[in-house]
Amino acid sequence: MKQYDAIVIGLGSMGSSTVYHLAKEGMSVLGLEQFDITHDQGSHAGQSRIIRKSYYEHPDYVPILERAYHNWRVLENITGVEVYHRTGLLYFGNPEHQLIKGSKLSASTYNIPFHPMNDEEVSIKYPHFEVPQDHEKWFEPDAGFVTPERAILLYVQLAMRLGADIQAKEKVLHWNRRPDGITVTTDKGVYTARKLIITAGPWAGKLIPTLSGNLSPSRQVVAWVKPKNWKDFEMGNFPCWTLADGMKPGIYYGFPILDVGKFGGPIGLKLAYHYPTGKTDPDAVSRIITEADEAEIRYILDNFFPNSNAELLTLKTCLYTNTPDENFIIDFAPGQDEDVVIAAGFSGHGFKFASAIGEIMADLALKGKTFLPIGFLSAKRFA
Amino acid sequence: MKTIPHICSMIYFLLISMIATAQSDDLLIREARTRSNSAIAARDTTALAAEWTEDFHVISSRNSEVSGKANNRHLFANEFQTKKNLIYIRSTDKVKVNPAWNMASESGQWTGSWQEPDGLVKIGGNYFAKWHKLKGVWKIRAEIFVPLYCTGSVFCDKTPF
Repeated sequence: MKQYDAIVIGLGSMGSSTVYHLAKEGMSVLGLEQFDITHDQGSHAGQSRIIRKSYYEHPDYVPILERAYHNWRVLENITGVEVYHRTGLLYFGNPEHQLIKGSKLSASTYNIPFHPMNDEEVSIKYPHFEVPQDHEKWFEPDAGFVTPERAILLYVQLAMRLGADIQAKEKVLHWNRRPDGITVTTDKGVYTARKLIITAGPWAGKLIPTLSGNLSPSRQVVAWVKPKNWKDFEMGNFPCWTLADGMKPGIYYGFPILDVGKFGGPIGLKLAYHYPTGKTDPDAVSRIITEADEAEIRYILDNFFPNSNAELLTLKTCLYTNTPDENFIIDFAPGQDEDVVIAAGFSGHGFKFASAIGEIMADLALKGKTFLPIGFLSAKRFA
Repeated sequence: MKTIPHICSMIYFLLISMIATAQSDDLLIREARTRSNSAIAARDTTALAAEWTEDFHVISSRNSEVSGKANNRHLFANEFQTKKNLIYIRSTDKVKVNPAWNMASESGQWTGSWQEPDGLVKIGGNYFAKWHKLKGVWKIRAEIFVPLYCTGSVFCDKTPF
């Protein structure tokens, strides 16, 4: 039986980047994915993910984001393929809302370009929006979106070219840590390695029972709609945006319409509501779109784009994996010394970090530490 | 005859320990670079200068050369006062360590931006740094910044000598 230096469970957002960064260091790596590469059962599907630096969630994320921006550029340079697209990001919200307060704090702490806009500027440049008068309007010019499926495929392809073994459609049943290494048992075989990295998204809790109480998968809905004035909402005429109206918890966000010839589908103007629903089982979650799901999307259109006359085109479900404080868990698995490394609980805001998380995971597995400040993401904070 | 396996195992452990030290030094340097970036973002010249040797030497993107920790600290303090919203970020690509001499090279990509009256300058390119481990602590001894692009302001039209 081949003994690997490392096995990575889950080749989605974080796992794909991890297998690449491990293979780049000359390690013998096995990547295991229970579905296809890529797939729509977890958290990474859907064409686009916002990337931004004025991070309202916590300013400590900013150094990791700087690294993520850098690593996305490195991926682009190696492959010659664009994964980061700069559109700018509009922020709308009450000045007391965490979206505005937290973004301003991160921007001022790390000197990130982040500019206020007045009502007139917004109405001239972005007449698409209907936003309450008391909302502040801010613009982050270096924000935009990254393309998740394309990035995952590129990382996995690079890893394979560097000699990584990649197995898709192979589900991990269980793993064991023994004095001589880690054994991973799948529905097709048994593998051994010195290190195990678990980047299994919503399935992480099932693979790390000691953390399952702090990892809550939730069912989310993302929509693509058809506005009447289609061209006004196309990339180049319309930015990424995020909005907190304070009427409901959570925030709303969206993207410009992307050219399907360049980006693939689904077709339309993408938007969604970012607020975790209740805990669900990733193996049993309903993927059927309900009237309540549609109503959630219509709420956004009716309240913030009343003149768009938009029709629903496509609605899809995806999964978040939420932690109690909605911050990630990046650490060694509790009770496993430094042999098992985990990245989990991305709480619906993780993809933009994937290029840096893979590097962090590889460093933790190979060197036992990382140069990036991840102390605030420790699993021990829930102990 | 027992000596040969003994020597082999000694060489093996020596090699393993050298690799482990090099990996650890690599991370220490990257950590120091992250601290340096945070110090620039916070406009903290004390924290920034703490990463430099006393004779720290810089060749800037516009070919100016400044020697000494105090002079470079003064230069940064002046830039923070005169350039609105100034930010520099240095992103490490590669670190190579010479453990015998306690020296290391770091190469990477740098970006800078600040507000000029006519627009936001966006400048960047490649950089190279020489690190020296003094009393067990890695310090930057020299840095050279190569500009590969500059956009956003007439500042960029002024070709350096």
